[in-house]
Amino acid sequence: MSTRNFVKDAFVILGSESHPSTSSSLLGGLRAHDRHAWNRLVELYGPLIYSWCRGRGLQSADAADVVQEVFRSVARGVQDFRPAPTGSFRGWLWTIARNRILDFFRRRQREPNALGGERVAEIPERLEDSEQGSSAAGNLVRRALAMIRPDFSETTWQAFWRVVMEDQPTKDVARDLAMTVNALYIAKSRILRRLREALGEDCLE
Amino acid sequence: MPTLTCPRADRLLAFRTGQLNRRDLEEVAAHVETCAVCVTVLEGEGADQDALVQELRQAPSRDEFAEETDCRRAVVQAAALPEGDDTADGRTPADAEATSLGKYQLLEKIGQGGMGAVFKAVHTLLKRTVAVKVLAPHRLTDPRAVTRFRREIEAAGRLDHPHIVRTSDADEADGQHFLVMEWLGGQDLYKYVCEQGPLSTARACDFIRQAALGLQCAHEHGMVHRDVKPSNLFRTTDAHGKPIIKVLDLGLALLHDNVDVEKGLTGAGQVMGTFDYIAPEQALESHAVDSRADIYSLGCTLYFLLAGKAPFHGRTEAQKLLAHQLETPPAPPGVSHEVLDVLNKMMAKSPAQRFGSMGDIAKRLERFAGVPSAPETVTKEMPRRRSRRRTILLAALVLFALTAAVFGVIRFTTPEGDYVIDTDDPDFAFSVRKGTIVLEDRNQKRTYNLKVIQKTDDGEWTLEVREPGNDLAMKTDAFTIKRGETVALKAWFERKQADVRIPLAAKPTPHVDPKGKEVPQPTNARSVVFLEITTKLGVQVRVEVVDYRLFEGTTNTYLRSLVSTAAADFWKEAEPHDGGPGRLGLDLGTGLYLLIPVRQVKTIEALDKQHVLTLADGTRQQGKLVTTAVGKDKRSWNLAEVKSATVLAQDFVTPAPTASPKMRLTIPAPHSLDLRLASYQVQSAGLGFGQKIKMTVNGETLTPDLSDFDKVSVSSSKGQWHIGLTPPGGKETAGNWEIRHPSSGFARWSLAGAMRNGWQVLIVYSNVSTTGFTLEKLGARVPPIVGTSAEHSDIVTHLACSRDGSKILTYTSDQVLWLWELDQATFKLAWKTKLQHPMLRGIALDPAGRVTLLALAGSSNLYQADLQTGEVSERRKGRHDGSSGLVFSPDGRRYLVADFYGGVSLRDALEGEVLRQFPGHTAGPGVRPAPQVCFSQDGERILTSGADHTVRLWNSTNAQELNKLPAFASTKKRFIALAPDGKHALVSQDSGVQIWDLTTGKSGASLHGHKDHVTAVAYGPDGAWAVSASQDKTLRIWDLGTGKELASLEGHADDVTCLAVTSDGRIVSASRDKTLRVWAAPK
Repeated sequence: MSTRNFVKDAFVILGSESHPSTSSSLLGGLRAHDRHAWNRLVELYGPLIYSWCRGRGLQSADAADVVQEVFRSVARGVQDFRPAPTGSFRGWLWTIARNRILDFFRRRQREPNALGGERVAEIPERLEDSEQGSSAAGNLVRRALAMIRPDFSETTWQAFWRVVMEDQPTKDVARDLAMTVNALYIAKSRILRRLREALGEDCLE
Repeated sequence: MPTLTCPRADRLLAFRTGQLNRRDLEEVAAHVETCAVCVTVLEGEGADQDALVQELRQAPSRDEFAEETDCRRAVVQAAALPEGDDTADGRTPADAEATSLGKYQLLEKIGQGGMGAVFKAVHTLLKRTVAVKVLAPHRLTDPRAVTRFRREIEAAGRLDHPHIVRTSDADEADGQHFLVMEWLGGQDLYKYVCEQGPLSTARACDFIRQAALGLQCAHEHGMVHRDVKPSNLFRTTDAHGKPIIKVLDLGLALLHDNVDVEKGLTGAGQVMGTFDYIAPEQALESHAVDSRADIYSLGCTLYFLLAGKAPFHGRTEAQKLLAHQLETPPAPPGVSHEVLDVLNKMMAKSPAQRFGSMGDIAKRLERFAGVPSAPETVTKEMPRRRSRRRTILLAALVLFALTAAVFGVIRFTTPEGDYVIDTDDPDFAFSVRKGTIVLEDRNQKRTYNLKVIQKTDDGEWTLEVREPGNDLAMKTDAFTIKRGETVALKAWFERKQADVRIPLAAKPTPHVDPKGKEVPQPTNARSVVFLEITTKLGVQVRVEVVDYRLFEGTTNTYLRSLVSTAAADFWKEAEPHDGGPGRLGLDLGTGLYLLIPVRQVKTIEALDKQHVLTLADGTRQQGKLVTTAVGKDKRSWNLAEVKSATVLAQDFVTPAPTASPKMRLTIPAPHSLDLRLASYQVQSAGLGFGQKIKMTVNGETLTPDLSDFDKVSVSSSKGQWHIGLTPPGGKETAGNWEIRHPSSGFARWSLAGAMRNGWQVLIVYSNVSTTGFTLEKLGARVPPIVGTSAEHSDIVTHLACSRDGSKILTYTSDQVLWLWELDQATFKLAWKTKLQHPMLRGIALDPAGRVTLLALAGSSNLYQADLQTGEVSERRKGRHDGSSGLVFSPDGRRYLVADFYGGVSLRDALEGEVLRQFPGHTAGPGVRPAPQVCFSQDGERILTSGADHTVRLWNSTNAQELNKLPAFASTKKRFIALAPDGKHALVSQDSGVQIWDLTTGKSGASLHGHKDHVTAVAYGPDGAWAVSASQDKTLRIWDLGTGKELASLEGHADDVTCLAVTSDGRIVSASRDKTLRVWAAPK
């Protein structure tokens, strides 16, 4: 089985409601050396980290290499990762990614004549920028949404989608779906919680 | 058992955003389920401050990086990391240091391709630096492949040509096959273009010419490259810094074929090659190609160099293969016809139509590459830090930036003088950035920065011209760009003359009688005033002020009446929505504003930080701030910035008197009555319920009683007033009575309306007596209903119709999708399907009636219904979150989809691949109207409305925004339609429909007649008529030439919810009454 399919299957198994998975929390799974959790981590955050690298001037092949280095560091460090009260998992990943990107540029500066780059590489000025708010980050949460979608019934999902994603008035949504407004908020809470778990942001365990 | 006590506020807040752990969350949920108090807290303010929720609400946007092949590769490789960390796959430079391969010591990995990794290496004995390509093991598993590969390499090794990378050795060591090549400094053209952007024509042609020479040599030796692409052309430099192009990887392409045939194209984790440059015949029969396939691929490579992207960039690999067979890519911008001819001939679909040989191409390209490439040293020495150290000499002076095509003479005024640009070539555009004029030559794709600097020696000013990226910098008095022998543009700097007080010229045309009193103008006079304001910021503004305001009495009384006590009143007074009076507001510095009609202004002078206005009657006023109001465009000009203001011209326009004012009153039989009236007068000053309009008709006074009418409505648009009077008697005799004032911009009507017992009470004031009203009974012809109507099980909310009307797809609020077949007048139900999904957002049926698209709330994917069986399935192609507006292009090959966040994209009907995006409707959270999209008949133009409440017109080919209609109130629902010719649009507004001229962006006539909100609008096939559906249970057909109602279609028993027009002009409508109806085409 190819890696790609393997990753996909992993979602299916974890996603089905018949398997109330012990490691629905990404962080829990990673700490438990859960192979599926690792795949989900890579599938979720890989494109984001890659975009961080590309957005800071790395060529695509270099970005792919740096992504590997970031995940190597994550594999080594995730056991010890304890979110600070104000910190987040994504912030932690960003710190690692930033350091690996810096390493990359330092290496480049030492090798000015490497084939494929005539110019002396410069460390981009914007390296210190926050990683928040980019389109890549927006797509991250959407990938996570797609992952958790099978965990919920159609009506619950509808309620969440219309109230949270589309900011529609709760009264209208409740009427259309024949739910109470109370139930809407419960649906919203459950899905947001599940989403945080999937993103590794469930720091309140 | 739920707890009865409400949770603490902080816990409830955490619950709201899903930040409780699982046990706590369920505990709170059990309480919230039934608690009315908690729900009000949850509904409270600040509910969605949460960062995650904010991120979710962000419009989904394209992350182009994440779509790159390397990103996919990175993810697949990283997934294998925890176990695969130590495998050979992750060979790093550090590992390589210790590695040797046969006679070579590998120093560092410098590249990785589908064929294998490339290392910088040194010959262990000769100490010569070389490049070693280690072929991926799976490339050479078959012994026959090895033989063939060796034969090819041997042949390639014999080639010794300045434009082919020399292969010096091919060997096998430790079971690994590798190639040894000469070591070159430089980079391949793919990376080069990625860094540099598209190349100039000369440079691109030179590079391709060199590659063609190299390939000519290979072809002469019977070798076909088969994989010509930018990354296989390597750019290095000779001893003089002149760029040299060398062809890489000759003979290796055979390995590709070998693997592809055996393993298929997508091996697990395998980074697949691209079909960006593949010749049409090569895609069909890869082994049978000859040298002409290389010509095609080299053509695609030339395209890439010129355009900065491959010919069919952005499509899926399968689409690219197809496109190479069928399509011609858009011409790269700014390339001359001669070069395009060469490009097209290289990329001809049929090998026979291409050039005969690479040699021919090299020859043809010589003249375009004739300009010797700029010495490489220029590029190398280009100091990147220059951009950071950009002088800010004028940064503070020119504060605005605009890009516009330069045409004629343009002046930028600065305190030091004027930049003057003189051109009649539309290929130039300019913008101003931080004190530098950026001049863009779109023809030659070059950009020049013009800036004036002061020489240190004599203090004189001189124009400095720089070309970014090309280190051209010169100081000059005048700068000229030539096209051939013709001067295309001339730019220079005109030093400001020594302090000359610019006289404030005025050309007043006071209309005063001998006693100095203003002569009242004819009431239908319109004054047009041009006002030119030059500010010290260098902005020259020329405004055309159209003064519609009736002016009565003397100037002094007028001025007195206009002095208001607050700025707010000033703007209230300006009535910007009604054409607006052209007036200057003068801040008297005391909180008082003086409003002066522009045509009364004789001169404006700036004196000692005070502004002095001299009026036509000799009055002088002083103030600090000048404001102008022209329509909605309100500006304030601070005195400190105003250099001069000149009243350039005044022109009084008197419209021709309306020909033979008449009034026609027609009532269809049996109450037929036809009056032709010569003149009449509306006199009543206070008109209310039960009161009478007094009209003088042919000397006879008529007083129709308002209470005789069901409904009286008054509306205005663009100087036209409509008074709609609906006679009683129910819908059998329904129709509109209308008093229409043809063009009285200056007639002052004010009105107030209130609903009392279902009657609209009106008070109409008029201080003007005028002629030219027409009163007409509208809507006498009602086309008969064709055929029978079809019954649904619930309210019809969506409808889509094939072009010929033979297939009609409907959706009802009980979640059922219906397919009807219409045979002229008879509906037949083909199938109905209950959808599992609670809500349908959008529906589309392609014009040929073969493909459906469904957008469902809460799903990222579109769905489709099988038109044979009614089976609904998810389309895996073309994800689009929150989509709602959906429509197929007239040729059925593309579709438009719009989402709630403002995103609009044009997609391929088969693959769902995004072809174009139309940004602009993006808006933040808030009430988002359902987006709508429509095509013109030729598919060239599209009209969209979306989250930002505007309506925009676009070119579908290049995604250029052509026009934008003003934003409408967010609380109102509007419906749009685009005329078949794409030049007009209909936008509904409450019960009316406004016609917009999309060429000018101006609104035209409005269509009034519906008694309730309009719910849909559409054009007839020839664009001569339009049809609207309304909650008043009718559809109405409008003559777009006259703006008159042609017919009212009555029959629906409840709100009409949707409509469609077939290619033969029949109208299909659906309603809350659960029926679907078809109506005859209007004559």
